[in-house]
Amino acid sequence: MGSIFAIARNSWKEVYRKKDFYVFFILLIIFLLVLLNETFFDVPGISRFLKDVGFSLLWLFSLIIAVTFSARQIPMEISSHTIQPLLAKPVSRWQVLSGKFWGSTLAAIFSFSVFFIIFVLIARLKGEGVERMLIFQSYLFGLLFLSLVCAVSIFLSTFLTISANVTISILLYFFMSWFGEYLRAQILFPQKILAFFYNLTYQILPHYEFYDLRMRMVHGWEPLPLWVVSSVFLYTLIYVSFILMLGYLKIRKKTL
Amino acid sequence: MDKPIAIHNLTVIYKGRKPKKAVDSLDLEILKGEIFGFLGPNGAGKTTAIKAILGLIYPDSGEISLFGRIPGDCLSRRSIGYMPEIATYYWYLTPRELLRMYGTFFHLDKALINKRTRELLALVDLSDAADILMKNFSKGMMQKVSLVQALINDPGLLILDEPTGGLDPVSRITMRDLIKELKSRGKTIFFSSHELSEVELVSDRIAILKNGKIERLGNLEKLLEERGAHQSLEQYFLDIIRGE
Repeated sequence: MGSIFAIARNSWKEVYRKKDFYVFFILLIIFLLVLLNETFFDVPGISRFLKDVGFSLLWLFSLIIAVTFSARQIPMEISSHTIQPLLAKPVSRWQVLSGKFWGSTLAAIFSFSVFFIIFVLIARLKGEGVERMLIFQSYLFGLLFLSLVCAVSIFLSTFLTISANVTISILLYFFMSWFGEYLRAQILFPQKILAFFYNLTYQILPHYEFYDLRMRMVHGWEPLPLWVVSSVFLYTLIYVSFILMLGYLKIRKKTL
Repeated sequence: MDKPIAIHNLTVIYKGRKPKKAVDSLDLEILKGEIFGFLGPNGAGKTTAIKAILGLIYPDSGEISLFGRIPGDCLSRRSIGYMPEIATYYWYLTPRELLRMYGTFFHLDKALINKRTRELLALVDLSDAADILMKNFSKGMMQKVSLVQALINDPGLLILDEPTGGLDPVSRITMRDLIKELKSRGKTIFFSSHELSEVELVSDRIAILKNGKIERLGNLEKLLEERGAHQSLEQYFLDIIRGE
């Protein structure tokens, strides 16, 4: 564990010594401050609007940080040759992959946490806050979502270039966000010829749509029951372990 | 006692439309406490052989043993220090942070890592730059960092890939003296180089590699005597490579 933690800490340092995070941080603050204005767009009930747009932005910015950061971890190690002295130490390839995953995930979680705190504070300032349990569930689902995003990007980085990986990871997110429900409907009410195809697609692709509780927050719906939260947690754990194992199999014998 | 490096019939083929044998049936043993110079022109297979020794690439056939263990075994790398040909490290770290991270991999305690970091950075005259981000470093400074990171675990075997490449004359002499000093401390040193004059000054034995195969292997003085008295290593090397 010591080696995995050392690699993760190294990756983590990259985040706060680079400018990416600060750019998104300032952008989010600007957007939220603009939304604080009561007469913005002349929309009554601006509080809901603020929650909707604000949460979408923090989700999107965290996604971009998670994808761009995790996608370059392994390819940059290889292209800059830093992987060679690293693997010449008593460190296995599995430890490098795990360290990179944890480093990326912690970096993304750190960014998400900062964004989330600002969002909650500003939502409360507008008077119509969010129920505490729902805040907790949204935060927890955000952490799970980012760990899944990082695991998928780390896996894709074992055989794709950085730009291809970022593009596919972002497209995958939007595809699942928009068509996840459609895929589920196709499985529940199968059509003969395409049933197998839909089923396979549904099982393989990561279900990013599970994690977004924005609508619940905006409309003040009930928090999720415990069994749903537990199921999503378990799904994330299994999917992340499986996809990282696939990534390891890909780099296990790779020439470096 | 297991030899630091024992290679038997090592073959590495780079696949592609035109597969190329980068290393061809290499047999080599490195003895404890010696300085071994691994020579050859560009593309001879030196770096490929070193990568195979370190487990960075998987050979198509043959066996490699590091202190009696296979390269893929993490424990085999406990007693090794490796300085790569291309010295690039994480730009967003300082040398102190880099050495701390690498020291952790060897399960060294914090106090020992700090002590070695101080000593090693002083050895290469980088004490003042210990807390400066490496993005500000020159090539020579990176080369020094590259050397000290290879020494953080006080290894029994040092593998140096072109250690004097890109160094100014003063740093080159420092590096040469350092190699000699490490030998006097009982370290085994296996290094590849293009700098034949450097090799001549420090090596006990050499191997000359050409097209992935060993053309000559043995004690440096004896090999030079083969071709008549007082031939320089440079002339000897050129004769071998040109096939004369």
